Formats: sequence, structure tokens, C-alpha cells
Amino acid sequence: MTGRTLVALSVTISMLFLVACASMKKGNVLPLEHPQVFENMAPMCTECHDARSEDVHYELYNHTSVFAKNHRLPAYRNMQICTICHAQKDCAECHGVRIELKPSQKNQIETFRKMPHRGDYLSRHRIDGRIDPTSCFRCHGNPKTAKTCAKCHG
Amino acid sequence: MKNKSDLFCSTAFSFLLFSLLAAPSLSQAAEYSVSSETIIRTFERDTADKKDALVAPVYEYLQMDIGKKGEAGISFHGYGWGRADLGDGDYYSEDPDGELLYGYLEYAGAWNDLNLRLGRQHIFFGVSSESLDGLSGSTDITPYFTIAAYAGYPVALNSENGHDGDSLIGGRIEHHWGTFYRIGSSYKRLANDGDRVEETLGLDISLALPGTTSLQGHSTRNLVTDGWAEHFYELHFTLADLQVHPFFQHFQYEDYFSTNIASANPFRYLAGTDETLTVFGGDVNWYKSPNWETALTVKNYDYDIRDESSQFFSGQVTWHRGEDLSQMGAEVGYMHGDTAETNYVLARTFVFWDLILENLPPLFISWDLLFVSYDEDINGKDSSLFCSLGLGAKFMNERLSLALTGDYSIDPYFDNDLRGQLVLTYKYGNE
Repeated sequence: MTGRTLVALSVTISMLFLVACASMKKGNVLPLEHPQVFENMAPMCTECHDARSEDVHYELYNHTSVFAKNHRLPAYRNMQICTICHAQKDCAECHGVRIELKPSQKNQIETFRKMPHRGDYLSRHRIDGRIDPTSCFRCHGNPKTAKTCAKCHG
Repeated sequence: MKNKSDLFCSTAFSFLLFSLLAAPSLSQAAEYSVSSETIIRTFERDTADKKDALVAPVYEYLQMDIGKKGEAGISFHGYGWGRADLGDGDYYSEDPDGELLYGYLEYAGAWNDLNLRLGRQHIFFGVSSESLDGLSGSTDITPYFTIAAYAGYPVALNSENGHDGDSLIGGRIEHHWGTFYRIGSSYKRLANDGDRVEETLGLDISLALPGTTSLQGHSTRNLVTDGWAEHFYELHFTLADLQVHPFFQHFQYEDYFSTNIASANPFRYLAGTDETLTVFGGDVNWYKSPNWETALTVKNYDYDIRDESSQFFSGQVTWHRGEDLSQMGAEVGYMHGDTAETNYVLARTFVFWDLILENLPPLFISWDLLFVSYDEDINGKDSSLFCSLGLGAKFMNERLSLALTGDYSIDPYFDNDLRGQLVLTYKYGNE
């Protein structure tokens, strides 16, 4: 049995296990879509919800002015809370280095979003990259997403 | 001959186009929405063959969703882009002309947050933040456990000899008790051409402490180098109108970056420096009224091998007109390193304003001004100035939006750079 067959078999069994488990006993039930659409505002969850409910720690999801820089841990822990309001497109606008345009270029007019790399980041990245290269690595750390780096860094 | 990645993209694009064409006939069976964003840019650049070559790319970003929103069942989600250059140079000769960012079928269950996805997708599970061609799933099992798993091809490596022998597998299991605590463990294994290039184990925690305080964080262990790559822990608490968020991060470059095919320059070089970086600091948000937002950020960076430290201070104030997006704000930042070449001061002001005028469609204007002063010259200049002005309008019940922006910058890399951009966004569907 080849490794690929083994992987396929274990994935199939895992998925069947997931479905079987899902039908056994009730766990959290997050809504698939937020009842109110926030197209024209950045929501502060705690304006309507308690800071902590039975299932969700809403305070951690408040879209404060620094939330764009600080949402890594809540997103990694439970992406399904993000998907109640956001499509993957919204993540790709900043994290999808493969969209070619810088986030601040693609959404040039939406100045309120505080998009990364706004303005002359070509100069500034020489300093930011030296100070903290780990933050560059998260988005530009593999051969595909580092194509913008490769033109100068090889 | 096309590799599997190209075939996958072609198939997915075909499905996307088929879905687009078939959408009207599906309209009675399912909701669908399509968002088309056409971006036309123009600027001049020196290329290998020509000086001041005109670059005029036209981008098309297409997003499609089919399926009933907010209801359990099967749905399709896709997003991709393509570009054509109408300029007179070869500025994009080494770049791809488009890409499928995601295109997947999703099954959302009615119970236990069951979610299954098949196709190209981005996954965020613990230590994994990857683009995957494959299958992923997550669900709650009992009220106290959540599990997630995925397997397939890593999109990041399809440029390295295609997908043959590549694999990306992983998952996460979490134990939780309401919002009192959540403890998770996650795993990722990435192989290129059959060789293991990344294997990572992660532990994460979210803990409710007395009062309004909460602790969350994660640690990541690199199983290839057998060392801790990252520790990241943060607190959140409220003091009157202040939201306070201190944090601590520690990185070991040898274990965080890697030197193999899955990495890239300049990170491969950094992996060999044996450096460790410790960052601590925090931010404070002050909400005295719904209209005013004030945030202060302080960060300290310590390097072990370089035996240096750097500090970053930032303050920003934003005034919101009301419950729409109209707002204006300012930000000042200061990066202070041990050497002059790592020092700069940054100042930014911005405006975004919705305008409702009689006999005119809804308008919006924007303004951005960013000035940076460097302690040490970069390419003979010690500052950069960037200015952007935008004007937009919405038509057809806001389904159609037109935005025109003009940018000017003078900086260490460009003497006088003028750029223009026109964005046409059209949304349609039967939702």
C-alpha cells in the first residue's frame, strides 16, 4: 500500500469520524451568518453581547482600531466565529499575498482600514524587516508568497 | 505539459465560469452572489528594455458564492483574479497573470458546527495558516471537545516541481468548558516531493481569569529542528474606559524560519543566524465616547546574538461621525533602534467621508497623507512623502461603485511618482 493510499484512507476515515461525531451529541452551535450585516461599520461585539457568553468570548472580537494587527490568536483558535461575518475573500485582501497588489493599493480609497504597507513601504521595510522579520515571514515565508521578495533578495 | 496544479486551477476556473453562466438557471434553486472588481492602474517604471515604460495593468477580481446564506447545506465559494497589461513594456514578464485564490464546495451541518470543505481553500487551525488543495473538516464532539483535520496538496509548493509527492496534513483538537478555558493542540506536516520539509506541533490556550481579565497564547514546536519556534502570550483586561492588552513573544530563528525548500530568502539566511528575538509591550484603547477612539502602542524588541534592542511607540486618534464609515484620524509612530539606520518617525492623517448631496448619487471621498523621516539616508534621501486623494460614487442601489484615486510620492526609491487607479465594483445576485 503506497503512502498516498494510506493518506487518502486515513483522511476518509477521519472525515467519516468527524461526521459520526457531529451527529452524536450537541456541542456549540454558532450561527452560520450574523443576523445583522455590518457593511458600513466596524462592529464592537460588546455593544450588543456580554463580554463573555456561554460559548463566545465576545470581547476578544471587538473590532478596535488595533484589531487589524491583533486578531491572530482569536482567528487561529476558532475561524468559524470569523466566518459568521467574513468570507475568505476578506482574509485574502491582506493575507493573500498572491493577489499581487498590496492591500493598501487594492483598497486605496478605504483609508480607514489601516491596511499594512501603506505609502512608501519599500523604504520602511528595510527597517521593519530588520527589527522584526518574524512578522514578514508569516505572509511572505514560502516560495510562492515570497516572489515579491525574490526580485531583490534572490 | 501542464502540471497538476495548473490542471487544478483550470478545472476550478472552469467550474467558476460554468457556475457564473449557469447561475440564472440555478437562481430558483439557490441563492447566488457575484462580485466583480475591475481595477485599472497606470504608472511609469524603468524595465530591462525601456526607460519610463508605461505600465497599465487591468485587473479583474471575481468572487462568487452559491448557496443559501445562513442555512445548513452545500454551497460553493470562489475567488480569483487575472491581469492584462495594456502598457508598452514587459513589467510583468516574470509574474503570473492570474490565480485562483480559493474555490471550494462547503457543507455546513445543522448540528455541532460541522463544516466540511473540498477544493482550494485557506485553512487556519492552530499552527496552520496555509493554502490547501484538498479536504478539511471541523466539528464539535460532545459539548467539551472540538476537532478539525485537513489533508491535500500545499498550494505554496506547486511552483517547486508541481504537486508530485507533495502533501499537507494536519489538524487540531480542543478541550473547552464554555468560555472559562479552551486548550488546544494542533499539528501540521508538509512534504515536498516526498520529503518532510515542515512538521510542527502547537499548543494554545485561552483562559478566563477573575474580573474582565483573560489570557490567551500559543507555543509552537518545530519537530524538524526539535526546538521551540515561538511563544506568544497576551492578556486582555478592562480598566474603566480603557481596554488594556499586554503581550509577550519569543522567537528562535533557527526553529521559526527554515533553510529548506518550503522557505524563501531572506528567511533562509536568518535561520542560520541562531538569533533569538523577544518582544514585549502592549496597547491601550480608550473609548470615552462612541465617536472617539484613542490607541497607544508600545513594543520593545530584544536580540540575543546582536545584543541590541529596539523600541516602537505609536499613538493614534480616530473620530467617527456616527454609525457609518465616515471618519478621520491621525497616527504618529517612532521606531527607535540602537543604530541610526533603524530609526524613523512616521506621521499619518487620513479621512474617509460619505456624502449625501441632493440630486447626486451617494459619494465618498478619501484622503491619505503619510510622512516618514529616516535618521540615516536611504539612497541619499532622509524622508518619504506619500499622498493619496480619492473620489467615489455608488449607483443602482449601491450595487455599482466607481472609485478614482490619484497618488503622489517622493521617497528614497522614486523622485516624483504619480499613479492613478480606477476601481469599478459591481455586485449582483438573487440574495
